[in-house]
Amino acid sequence: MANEREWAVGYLAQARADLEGAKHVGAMQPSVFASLMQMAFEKFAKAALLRSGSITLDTATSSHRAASRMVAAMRRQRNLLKPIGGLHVWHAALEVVEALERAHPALAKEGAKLEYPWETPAGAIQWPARDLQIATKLGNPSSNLAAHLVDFATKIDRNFDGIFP
Amino acid sequence: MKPIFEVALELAEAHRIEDPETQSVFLAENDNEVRLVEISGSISNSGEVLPFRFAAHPEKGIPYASVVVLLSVDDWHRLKQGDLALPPGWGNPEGLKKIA
Repeated sequence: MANEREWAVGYLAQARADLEGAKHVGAMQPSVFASLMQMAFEKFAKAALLRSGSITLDTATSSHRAASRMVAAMRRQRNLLKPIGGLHVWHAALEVVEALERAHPALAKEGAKLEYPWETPAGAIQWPARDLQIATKLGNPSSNLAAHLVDFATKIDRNFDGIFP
Repeated sequence: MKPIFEVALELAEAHRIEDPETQSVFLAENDNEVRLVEISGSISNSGEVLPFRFAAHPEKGIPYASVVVLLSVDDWHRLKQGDLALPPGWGNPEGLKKIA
């Protein structure tokens, strides 16, 4: 039976694969990019939790708020970490990660969500590629939000072992 | 080496500066690492107690690993009522020491 630390290896590896996928898709398909970034952050966070030694596999894997908690906890420690970005970057990253988390199908339920279409209260069908606000924001060519987010996640990836022992 | 309590106070102060909406910081006493429970108005309710463990940074005056649990005010009340629990080995909420 594998222990939590061994599970963390798997979560971290898959987070890295999700992040690479997101980089390939980029802002050309913002809703797919958003899904992959949500998946990457969630798995980075679960890998970090499983490494903590203070949480069971069930608790870690069933969490829906792990990613935003990880970024919020990291922000508190940011002066101890290798530079990941200025205050603006941390603020933007936390805002996007929270928005992606809220759009996770398990949390958004009947509302606007990643991956799947949904029905509005007025009975109209909408879908993420056209209607998901956070995906539109990430795909906005006037904004560098998607680039900042990838850079932020890449720095977490590169420094993961140093941040979360 | 500095005692854990002193490092905990320094971390609590740094974290409050980073998140001015932090209302309270508690220490779960432990001989090997700094275990902090922080309650903040900037944290949304989740019903989850998630401990993130960070590496020690002796070169920056933090010679111990630190573990941070962030809670919303509501989740903190739920923890005190027994609807949520601290991580295994952290004791119960009554045993936490308020340090900020």
